[in-house]
Amino acid sequence: MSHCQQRCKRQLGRVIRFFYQFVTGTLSQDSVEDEFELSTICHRPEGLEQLQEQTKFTRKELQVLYRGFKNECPSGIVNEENFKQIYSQFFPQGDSSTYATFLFNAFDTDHDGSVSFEDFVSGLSTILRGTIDDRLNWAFNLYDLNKDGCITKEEMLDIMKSIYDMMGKYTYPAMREEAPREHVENFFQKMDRNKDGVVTIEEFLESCQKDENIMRSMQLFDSVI
Amino acid sequence: MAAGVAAWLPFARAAAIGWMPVANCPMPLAPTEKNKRQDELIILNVSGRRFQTWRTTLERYPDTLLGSTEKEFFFNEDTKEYFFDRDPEVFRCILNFYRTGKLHYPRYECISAYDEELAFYGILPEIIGDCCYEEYKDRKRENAERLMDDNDSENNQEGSMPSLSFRQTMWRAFENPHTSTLALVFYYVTGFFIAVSVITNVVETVPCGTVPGNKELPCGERYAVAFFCLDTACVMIFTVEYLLRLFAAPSRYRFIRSVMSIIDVVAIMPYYIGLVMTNNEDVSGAFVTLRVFRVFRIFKFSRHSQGLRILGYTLKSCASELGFLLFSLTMAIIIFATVMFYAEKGSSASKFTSIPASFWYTIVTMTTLGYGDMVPKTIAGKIFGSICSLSGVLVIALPVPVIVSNFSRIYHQNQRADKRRAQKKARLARIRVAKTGSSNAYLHSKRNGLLNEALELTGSTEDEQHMNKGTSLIESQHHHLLHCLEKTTNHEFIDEQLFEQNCMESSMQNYPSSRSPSLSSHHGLTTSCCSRRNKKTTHLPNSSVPATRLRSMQELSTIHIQCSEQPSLTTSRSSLNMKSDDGLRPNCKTAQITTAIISIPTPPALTPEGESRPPPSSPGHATNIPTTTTSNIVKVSAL
Repeated sequence: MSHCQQRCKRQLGRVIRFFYQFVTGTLSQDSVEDEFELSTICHRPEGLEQLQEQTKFTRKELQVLYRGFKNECPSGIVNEENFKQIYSQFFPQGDSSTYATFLFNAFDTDHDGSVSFEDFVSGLSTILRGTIDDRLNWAFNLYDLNKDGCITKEEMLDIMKSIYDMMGKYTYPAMREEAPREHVENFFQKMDRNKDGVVTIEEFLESCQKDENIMRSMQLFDSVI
Repeated sequence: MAAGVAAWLPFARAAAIGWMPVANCPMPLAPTEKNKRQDELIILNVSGRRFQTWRTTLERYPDTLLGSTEKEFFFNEDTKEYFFDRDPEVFRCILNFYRTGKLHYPRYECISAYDEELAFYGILPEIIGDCCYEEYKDRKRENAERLMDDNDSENNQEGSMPSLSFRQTMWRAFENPHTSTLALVFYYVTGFFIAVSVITNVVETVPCGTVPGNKELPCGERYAVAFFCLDTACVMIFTVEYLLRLFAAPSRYRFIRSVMSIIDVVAIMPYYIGLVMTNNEDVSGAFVTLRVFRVFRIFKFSRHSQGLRILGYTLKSCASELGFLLFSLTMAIIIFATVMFYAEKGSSASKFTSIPASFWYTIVTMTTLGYGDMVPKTIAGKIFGSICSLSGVLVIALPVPVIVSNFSRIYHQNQRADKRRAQKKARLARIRVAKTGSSNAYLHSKRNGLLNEALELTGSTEDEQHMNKGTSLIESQHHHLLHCLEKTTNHEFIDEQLFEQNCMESSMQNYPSSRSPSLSSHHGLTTSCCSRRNKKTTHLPNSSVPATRLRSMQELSTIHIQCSEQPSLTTSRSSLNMKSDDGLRPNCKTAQITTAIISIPTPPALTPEGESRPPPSSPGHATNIPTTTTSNIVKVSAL
């Protein structure tokens, strides 16, 4: 009852305020000022030397990366919407938003809802300049959605669905509903050594190191930048 | 993929790490960069202003000039920069497009200049960003309308009139009374009679003195015969006019359906119906009503008045606003009439007997007329009455500015169109002067050139040097070019007076038979020149495409002298415009052209040179040198 009373009071206050503004002619207050707040947040990365120490990129490479980063995100940080939008431009035929969300969570190491240049560049450094183990670790971190140290079938299914979503509708052979699920079964069969329904980091690393294809594909990242 | 995010491609490729462990098949090989160039700064020198950017920035859009290898054509080896001889202001926008991925349209820039720059750099205007696209499209449409307008008027006024049939001339006379004096006379006569008819209708009803018996008679009944004669005369004129228009109309069906003809018919119908029905007393009441339609004759004035037509057009184009006004008024009237009726129901002897009766009060109040024949007496009635009048002001005031602004825009557009047409005439006149000036320069130098050849052969060098002083290298090259063309086509350039002289000569001799021996062998000269005598432009014999192109090239080359350092690309592109009027580049002021022209010495001074002329050195051509008595131009023709 008190909750109701509170709501009534609030509504009444709003009505009176409305009439007051109507009478004084200040009814149409633009709420544009609120939007300004977001865009004035500006983030500057640490100095070039520090980044050089922290990551494995050369100075020139950092410069190139930063220029590209700043071009798309003049405010210095990427939020999830932006991230998704940028990533979707690379996959026009499918829906890459879910996978982009997972990526965002993987890059956003401090979980503050935004990816700064440091996060960005440290993630890239691991993937592009790290050892194979580093890369596999990073991939595991990506798959582990709730970051509890193991991948469950549901998590893997989500990931798989998001990857298949990026393909879009027009594929050959035609996309079937069960394809992600089958793929997940396949994966777990390969990875889950002790058949306990989850894949831990050790199992993951072990199985990947045994797989030639995966090893070879990990080496692809050497030449990206 | 939007090239703006090309910088993020390495990130996207890195993000693919998530797919690797789950993939069942091996990944394809990565492409290798064969010549992995380090990103370098390149300098773009645009008319002296240097812009610098990364090479990769430009390579984002590989299908444009700057992004492809096409820019290598503009590379300057000495200064190791890319030099573009274009507008640096617009280039700023273009470069920003590469940098930000968004193309903006600067509002101060001329739309056609901007379009040209975009075309040069290979950028489609469609990618202009949303912020500027509307403005761009509006300006473009305005410009196109203006050009179309000018074209139309040009076609209408300066279009050549091969023999129009009698019917067509009559239609033209009706539509545009300024074409001939007869049309003008007709125009004024009909205007006068419309005025007479309208005044007659008005005066007919004025009470005009008394008749014995103390009865006031309107003039119409007192001088019935006179008014009837006047009316008959007017209707005769209108009928004749209508029938003539009907005859002359190119599409009779469309004419009959047009508004003006309906007004005409409605204006004269009452008279004829009256003639038919005078005897029948029963329908005389209806007949009297029909006379009301005579007032429609006043609408015939709209043929004579541009302003009236504009007003009508405005009302038509504001139909939606008017409709809205009407609808909202109707709503308000019904609401307030209902309210007033029920409010006043209680009071005694109230004039608000029913809701429709209250409509009158509502309308009078809302339009703030306030006659006072119906007033509310109860307090509630008065309150609602005041609310009614206040809201009436609001409702009526809302759509009116829209209509007014529409009218003003259309009216000013019309004024501007007329002004432009007048200005255009003056402009064309000035351009024509410049053209004759430039062609005369060529002819003059040709004379000198022939003299040169004569002197060469006779071997006196000093005179030759004296002659050569006046011409620059560019001019001489240009003239050489024109000379080559003359040789190619076996025709020659002559000036206007000479041409008309030839025309008259030929018409005197053998019209329209074969060529006369006294003229150079120009095919079809006789027929073509004489039929075009009415046209006041400089026509070269056998005026066809090559001649006009030549003329435009003449102008262009002359302009080339003034506005130097234009790349050859522009002159060649402009020369694609075959129309002589458009041959001028708009950014070269016409004033500059005249100063470059060598002043033409008075003809008599050069008479001696025209006479003697040895056969030219071109082999294989037997030359014919007809010289007319009054001209100094030597015509060389090959048989």
